[in-house]
Amino acid sequence: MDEDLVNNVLKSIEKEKVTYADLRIENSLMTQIRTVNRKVERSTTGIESGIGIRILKEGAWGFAYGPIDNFLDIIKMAVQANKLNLKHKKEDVKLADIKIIEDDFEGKQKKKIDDVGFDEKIQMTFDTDKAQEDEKIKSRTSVYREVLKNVILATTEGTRINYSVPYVRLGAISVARDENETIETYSIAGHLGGLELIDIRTPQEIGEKAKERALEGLKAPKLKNGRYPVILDGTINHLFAHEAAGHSAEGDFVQIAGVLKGKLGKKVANPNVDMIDDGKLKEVNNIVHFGNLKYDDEGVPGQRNYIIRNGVLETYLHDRASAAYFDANPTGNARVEAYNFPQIVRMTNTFIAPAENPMNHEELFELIKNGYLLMQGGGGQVSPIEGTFNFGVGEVYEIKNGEMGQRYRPTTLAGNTLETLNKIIGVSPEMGDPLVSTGFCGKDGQNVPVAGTAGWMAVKDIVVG
Amino acid sequence: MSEDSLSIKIKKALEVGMKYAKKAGASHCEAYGINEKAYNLEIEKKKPKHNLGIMHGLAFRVIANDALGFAYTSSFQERDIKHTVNLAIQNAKTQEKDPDIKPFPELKETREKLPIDKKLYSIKPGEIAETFEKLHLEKLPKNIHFLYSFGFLGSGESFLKNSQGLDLHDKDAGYGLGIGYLSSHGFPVYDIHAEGARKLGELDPEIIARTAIGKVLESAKPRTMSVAGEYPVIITPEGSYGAFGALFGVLTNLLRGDKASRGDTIYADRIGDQIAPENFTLIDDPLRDDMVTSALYDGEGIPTQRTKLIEKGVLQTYYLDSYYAGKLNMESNGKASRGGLFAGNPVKGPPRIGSFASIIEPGDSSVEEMVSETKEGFMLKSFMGIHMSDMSSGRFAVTGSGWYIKNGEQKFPVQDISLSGTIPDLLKGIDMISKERRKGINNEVPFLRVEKLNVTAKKLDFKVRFGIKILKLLTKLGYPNPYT
Repeated sequence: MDEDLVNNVLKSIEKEKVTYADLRIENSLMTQIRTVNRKVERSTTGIESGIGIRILKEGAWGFAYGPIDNFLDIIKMAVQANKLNLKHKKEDVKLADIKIIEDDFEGKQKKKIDDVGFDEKIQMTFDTDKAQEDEKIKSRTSVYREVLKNVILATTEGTRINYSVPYVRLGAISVARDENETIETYSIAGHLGGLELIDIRTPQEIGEKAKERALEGLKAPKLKNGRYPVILDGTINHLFAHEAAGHSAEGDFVQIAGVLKGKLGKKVANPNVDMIDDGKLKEVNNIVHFGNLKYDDEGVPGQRNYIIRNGVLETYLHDRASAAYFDANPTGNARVEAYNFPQIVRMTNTFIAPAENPMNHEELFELIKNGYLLMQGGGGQVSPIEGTFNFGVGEVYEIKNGEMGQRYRPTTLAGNTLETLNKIIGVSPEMGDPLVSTGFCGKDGQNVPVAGTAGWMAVKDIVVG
Repeated sequence: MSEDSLSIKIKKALEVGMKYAKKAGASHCEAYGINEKAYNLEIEKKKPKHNLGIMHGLAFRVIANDALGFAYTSSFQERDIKHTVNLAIQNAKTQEKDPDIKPFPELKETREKLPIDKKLYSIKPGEIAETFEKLHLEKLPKNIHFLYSFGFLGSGESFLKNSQGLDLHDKDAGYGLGIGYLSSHGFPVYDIHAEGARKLGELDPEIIARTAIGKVLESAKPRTMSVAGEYPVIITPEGSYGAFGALFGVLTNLLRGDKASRGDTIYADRIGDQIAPENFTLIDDPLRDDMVTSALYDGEGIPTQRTKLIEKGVLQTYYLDSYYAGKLNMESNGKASRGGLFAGNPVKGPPRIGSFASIIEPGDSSVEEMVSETKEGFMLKSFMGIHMSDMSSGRFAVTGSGWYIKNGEQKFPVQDISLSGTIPDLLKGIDMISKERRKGINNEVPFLRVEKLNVTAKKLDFKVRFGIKILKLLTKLGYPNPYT
């Protein structure tokens, strides 16, 4: 840790007589390679360097960011922002107490991203590309992304966390076309860690999966739009839990509006539903989930939070300010994309688990009897105020008499959050493939890594197509 | 403040990078730097969030070994600048030789600077906050609740140099205001209205707030419906090119020159084809100085131009940068974008093809006629799920909200209307275009009626509708409404 710099900044901030302040100094490294049809279309390497300073004074925040060398200007700007916030504040911002932590740590990398040359990384995208080749695949895109986040978090309360955490992600997008139809599908793998990812899931496997989905989708008939009983796989479980229900439980948002506002302690889902956000989700097959965090960006340890337990809304997700607002404990969900953003409440690894009567997949098929199995969720958009959502679905299979039937073309599903939470009639308990539900959640212009592939869910009915 | 000294630092850093690139083996180099003061204001209910910042950084594109490499940094240390240039060169050298690569563009013409309101550089955040405060009206209509308001002010300068002698110094500034309200008439809905300007005082906060209230009132008390079939659909200007859930973002993608060059769009090799009705003309106009996205030069220094992409329904050209124009044996029309003001830090990626300001020419029907000539159909204004559309074929399946039309009358607001189809079919199916147009932050477009689109919707479950009725009753009895 650059202790002199941190001490200088904190000393300068203290002159402003603040109640509290935190600073984040970042020097992160990023590489992204995007190839289309075996040609490097975009390759970017960058150093993300800067300082973000947040002060709390007279019950209002002030946040500013800029070049590290200009930290004195940035402090002045944070004070200016605080004055403007003071003018508009209707109530004081308070912070829930936390345990002060000093730590210095590095995320695990079995194969360090620094030890692998740029040419090898390009080769990975070419291998992903090659695996997508087929006469019907008209466009093959491969995207490799690595980030090494190097951050110092220091607060006027004494928190000092210096960390270096890597993540790696490789994906493929295949576009298949025949005379009548075009189908675009994708496959992805990512984790918090180094390039050992490629030994666990090879570029060939990633490319082939995207190709297989596109070609099978092209052959398959189109499903008639309508409302059907469905089984949602672990990726859609995560997508639904995160997009539809999770955003509505974020402690900053829920102060304003949303379908879960005012519902703490009330039944919001079928009693067999537990909805969990777990920042310290146990590793599955030595894979660290994409949404894991040792500490959030306020220095609160990541933890397992039951948002819904047995169908009852148990907690919202909090940063320190929203925890104080709701007279709750911080849940380790204050996160930022980079130094140039202030902390806001974000999810980590979010999914639905069975609260009671865990079922295996066969039992879920029996429960639905006739309907559709929807797999490989992608994209996703939600309006947490109206409580509506819309997701992409990569694989669709008919369920006929409790058996898996014909495959259908990729489609979308749409629904209402509270309605769907109450229509979940069965959930399987296993955690799914931790590499595949690796996404970046966007909120207030910030993107942070999230994940959480879990078990399958039977839903009484939902709009498909 | 030391922003001016930061600009000096950036200029020096670009020089250092350019010289070093030559020494380190790059045959050509392009250097870009930004120094922008950003002020974001936001109030969510009772919580103000004013943030100030300096967006800064350097980006280098190099040609080495007949391939293109890119790297960026937001550190100005000489060691980091040289490291960044080395990364860009390494990036290029590890790629296969590209037979289509050409040197970066030379300066084609020198243009007068964009009209800039100098006050936007000198205004204190407190002063702009006063304008922002005027967004918040004291009295609101019954069941309409303030949700959130936001504002932004950006003023800065950028520097672009390349080894072909191009040396541009650009200044840009603008501001914007927006506000959203929630209606608790029946099922809760919200709407937002935002405007941007390049001249201080051009935005009237009260008009913006009243427009937002008008929008949410128009959508209040929405119903869900059970329908399935083909219906005429009128797409509002917000629905086609608005800032929130706009359908024609897919069309912009389908018309990108890089996709056309790879055969990755349904419109590849279709220049000269009739792809829309004869009264449909789509223009990209970066020279509209009343829009915050306007620019005199694109992201690689090519003078921007007003480009007719589709004229009288005939595909004329694509959105092109210099590289893909070369590949398609065409001339660049200056559509390489670095994101521009208010679109995130532009140093983080190389310039990419995009639109600046989308203009659709007006038609000859009035909106009133469009509605009165619709026996049964919908007018839709925003769509969820656009980003999951197939950007090659233009296939979309989205959930929209708007109004139900029956026997030539706009009956009531609706939501959860699922719409599916393809953009090429939608374009061909446009049978009416309104005379009236609305101006958005980066667009000016009319209402478009599509003769028939596939619509599916299902009424909300009885339980949910019943729940809303109970909620309404409880609210009347004095219990707090959780949605507000």
